[in-house]
Amino acid sequence: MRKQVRRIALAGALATVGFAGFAAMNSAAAQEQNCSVWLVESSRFMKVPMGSFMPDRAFIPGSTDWKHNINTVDLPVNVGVIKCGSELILYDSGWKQQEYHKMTGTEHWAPLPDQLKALGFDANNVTKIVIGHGHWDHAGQLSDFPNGVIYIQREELNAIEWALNYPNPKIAAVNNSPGGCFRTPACGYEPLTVAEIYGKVLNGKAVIVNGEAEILPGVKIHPAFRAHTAGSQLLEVPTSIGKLVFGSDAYSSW
Amino acid sequence: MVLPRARVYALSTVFFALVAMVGVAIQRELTPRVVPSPVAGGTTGPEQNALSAEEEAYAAALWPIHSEVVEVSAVDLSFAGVAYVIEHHDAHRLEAQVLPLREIFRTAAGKAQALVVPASMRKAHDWYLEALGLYETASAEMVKVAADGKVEHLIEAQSMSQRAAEDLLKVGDVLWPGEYKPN
Repeated sequence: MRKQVRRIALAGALATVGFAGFAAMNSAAAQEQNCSVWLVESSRFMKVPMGSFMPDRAFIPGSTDWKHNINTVDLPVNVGVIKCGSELILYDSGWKQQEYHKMTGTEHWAPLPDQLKALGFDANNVTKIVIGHGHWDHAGQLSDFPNGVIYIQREELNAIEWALNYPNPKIAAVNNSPGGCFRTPACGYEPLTVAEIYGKVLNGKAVIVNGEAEILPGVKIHPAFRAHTAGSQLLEVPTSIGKLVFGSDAYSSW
Repeated sequence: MVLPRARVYALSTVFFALVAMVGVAIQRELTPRVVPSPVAGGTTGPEQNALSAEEEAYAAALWPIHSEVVEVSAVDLSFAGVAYVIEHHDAHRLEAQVLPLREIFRTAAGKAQALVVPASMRKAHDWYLEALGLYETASAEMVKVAADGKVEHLIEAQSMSQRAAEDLLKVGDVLWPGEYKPN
């Protein structure tokens, strides 16, 4: 009888150890491979004329043609919030200029640090910011994440330099034409945005990327050059439901 | 009754495995998770009032100075610093790029000061002149790198440039609300 009890206890111990080991391996493997992701609609441009968003679909009053019968659209500006182990990553960082909302009489914006707080995150804990591209509405608020290292393509910086040095003033890095810079890749690099990028570079908080890059195991930057801008980049993130790829304006009309 | 040995082993293995599973499940349920709560909607401040004819004239007069000269030069200034840090590390090349910009900001300030400014726009005008002054000072600070090679000059200058850019935003908020279109 005693021998039987000993055998039962030994079998139980072995089973428990085996199962615990299996669970631990699975858990550790899951943490290394997968990230948690939130897609935050950080803001929304309201009442954007359709023609400025898609020039070949300008609104024509009274038109029944599907290409010309939409007056305005609302454009969400999303930010990817990615948690991989102890790393907190942003894909894009929104914007802070409020003039557009005032002009259109719309309100659909909140500071990104406040939005992160609603998710339970502290802006100071952001470790990496992958900028899809350097436009003012996607690379804003960088100063609000003092510990975040930005990742930006060299090709994107080259494009800013190209626009700055272009001999014709119609092509410029800034929005210097009230209606002429809509969705033009060469412009949209505003003084505050470029100053904040510069600040990150100066303080050693910038990685200048040349094409492909793996910033964490399984978390990969893919170039999308001459998509939305000359140096746009995508971010691939492994999650429990498969790989997600962030692309911001690289996924929009042009 | 004495059970067969193999059956004892099998039953006890299954039993203890089930206990372990229950333990893991309880532990996971007790681990706190972050539950996102709805984000409060943002506000944009007071409604924009239409500018008077005088104010419109001032905004229209300042716009070419701002859009064709100041904005481009401001981005040029920051980019000169970026290129210095990530590419050439040539302080004299940096100086050669930045000195003309200092002159541009000074000239722009002179032109802005010569404008007719409505009383209601005085505050915005002061912000704008403050921005130009900061950019000019930042340029002067940056060229000091050519003398002693200290990166502290660039850090100080970048801080001034960023404050200047924020001033430009405040002015744009008042004068040119359509300046920033979705990009």
